[in-house]
Amino acid sequence: MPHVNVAPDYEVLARVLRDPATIDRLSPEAFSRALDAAQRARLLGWLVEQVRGGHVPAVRPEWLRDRLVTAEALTSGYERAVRWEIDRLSRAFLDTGQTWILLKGAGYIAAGLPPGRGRRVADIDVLVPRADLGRVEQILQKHGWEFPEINAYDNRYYREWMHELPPMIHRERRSVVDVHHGILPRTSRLKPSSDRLLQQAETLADGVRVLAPAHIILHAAAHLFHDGEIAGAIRDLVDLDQLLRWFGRDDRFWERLVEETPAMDLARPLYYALRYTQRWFGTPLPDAVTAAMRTWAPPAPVRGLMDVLVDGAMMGTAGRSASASVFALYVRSHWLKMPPSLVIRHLVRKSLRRD
Amino acid sequence: MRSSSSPLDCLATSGVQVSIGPFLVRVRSDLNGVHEYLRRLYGDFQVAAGEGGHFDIAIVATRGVRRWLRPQANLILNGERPFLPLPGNLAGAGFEWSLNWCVGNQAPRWVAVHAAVVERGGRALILSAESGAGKSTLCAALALNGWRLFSDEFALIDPDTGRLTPLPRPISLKNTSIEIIRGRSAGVVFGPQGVDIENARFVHMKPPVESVRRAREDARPAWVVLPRWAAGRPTTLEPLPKAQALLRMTDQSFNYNHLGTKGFACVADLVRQCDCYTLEYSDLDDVLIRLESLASS
Amino acid sequence: MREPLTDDQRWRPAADLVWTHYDDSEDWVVFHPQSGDVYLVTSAAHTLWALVADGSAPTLHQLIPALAAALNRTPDSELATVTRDTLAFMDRAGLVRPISL
Repeated sequence: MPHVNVAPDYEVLARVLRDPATIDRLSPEAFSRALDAAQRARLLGWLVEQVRGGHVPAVRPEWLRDRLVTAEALTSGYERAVRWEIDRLSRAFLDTGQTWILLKGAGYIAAGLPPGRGRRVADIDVLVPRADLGRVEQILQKHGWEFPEINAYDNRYYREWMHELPPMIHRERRSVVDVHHGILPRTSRLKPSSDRLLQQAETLADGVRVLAPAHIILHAAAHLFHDGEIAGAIRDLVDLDQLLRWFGRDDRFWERLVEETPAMDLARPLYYALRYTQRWFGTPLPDAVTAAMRTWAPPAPVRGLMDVLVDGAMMGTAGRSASASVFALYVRSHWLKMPPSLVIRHLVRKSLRRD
Repeated sequence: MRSSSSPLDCLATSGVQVSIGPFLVRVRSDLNGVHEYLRRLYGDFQVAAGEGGHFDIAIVATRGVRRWLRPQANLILNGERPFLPLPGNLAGAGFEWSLNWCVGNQAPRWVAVHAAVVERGGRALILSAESGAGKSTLCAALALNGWRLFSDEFALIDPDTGRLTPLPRPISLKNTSIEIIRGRSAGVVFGPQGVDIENARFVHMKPPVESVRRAREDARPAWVVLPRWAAGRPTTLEPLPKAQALLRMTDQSFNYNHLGTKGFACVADLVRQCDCYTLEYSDLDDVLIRLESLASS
Repeated sequence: MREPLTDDQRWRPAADLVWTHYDDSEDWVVFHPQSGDVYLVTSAAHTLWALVADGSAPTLHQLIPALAAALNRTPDSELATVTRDTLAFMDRAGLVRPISL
């Protein structure tokens, strides 16, 4: 029985990620597969940036040139859509005196950072002081965002165990805002300080606020090595590499990072972030940082297991071992978020429900 | 009748490339339904063995035991799965729906407006209507009556020239339209009939061979018409304010804002160039005469 | 928390809007590139927008008599309500923007 292979070609994508010059040597068909895999990994914006930087296959039939035009148009559209959402949030908070900080992808786009270019963002993540949650909900509801109908279990999961309110959906645009009061759940073993994040937040020209560079890195690291989703792993690591290179042009950034890491109680996630960006993308790190990493490192066996899991995620290879890795990483993430007894109960409930 | 070594033989292995209008469409499928559908309805199209294309469409059976109990067709379009699996017997129609998704969401150079387009004397008639208003029936009737078929689903507008590009494909017909069109032309070829998720009978009509042969010949837009079939109504062609026509066209386009201001300007200019009407009718022969006289005025 | 739709809130137009008009009717179509949205509006609504866009950063309080004059109508309570509602619609659509205090 003939078998049509429809698995995304993550292998060619991984090669391109590690060395964008690979693109120049790809056949049109292989590059087309890289485009599709990049879209699946939510890295189409990144790939379009490489093309803009001059990396294209040597041979470009008309259909490939058209696909590139499409990719440019799609990624411009993604960025435009996020900028509009940010604009509408600014409008909602105008003259309210409310503190609100853009996190993750929306933050990258607002701040003009490299990983923001052509980025596809699903939800807009916003950080507010914990005491202001009720007020923020009201402001957003006044401007068209609303809570979807969710059951009591999920409601508690969000509000008490996770680090967010249930997502709010705009009634016309169907866009989603996740309001956070911390970057890790209250039940996590790690305790990064939201006050510190808010105090050091920076204000952009248009009045929109984002985290300080060191905190952007720390948040990205915590998000990658604490969150349940592994599909985001590839993109998150690419983001970290781009951000570290961008911020790293300024020596003071590295000093701040070394200072903020223990202050925010995020040494372990940052250790992994630096280890794997260096391993996969050769991210240059100053000696002072490499030295500090030694004090943040986990025991060797733990590190060995993480190496396997992350390598598997990065290669994205199909097969039983990769899916076990996926599962293992997922379990580990939830272990960090919730006390163990709750993990089992939660996982069993999640697997019984059909989303 | 094709020889035994047809390019379609590669459908389940390396795949085939079908030239459909300006697009090179790569298709792979391990389902007989798709093979049969392409053989019957795409016989006049250029088909080659190969990889690569504007769109990559894979229509594959679900693996495992399920395959034999309740065959399903999975649609993987440029690596994405925007649709739930279809019942296996709808696999052929699945190809057309896949193409609709690709053109509507991933059309590279053109502004794609959901509309039917036919051409006469170098001028294009754009028919924009809600589902169920009879647009496809009217389009098929026109295509069999002196008009060249451009497409029953998409008006492709070139933003640089303002001209329309043909995308001739099988025309989708539902319920009584099937008998109406079958009765109008002896030579019309239909694909396999099916029943869709809403319990409508549907069939795809093979596009007239001339429309496929002349797929490289574009045309300038001349008329935008919003047709509506309504029982017992006399044929009524009424001028439609252009601002309303523009709103309708942008509403029916999925991708104009991917191209930003240029895309919008493209549609606005098209409306400026065209005569715009609403059209109500119940008698197909009568409306054909009315539109023919519009074309010769 | 202040309400931007008070009578003395100042307004300015959004940038880069594409306004289209055809001779066969009074209506206007506006494309907003930032949002990607298209709206069909009446000539009166377009006039209101043009008043916001004339560089004077008007308040609602100023717009009502200005619109009345432009449309050759009395500035009664009905016009005031319509002006307020249309301004609110344009605010939600992002076609006009409140000027921050």
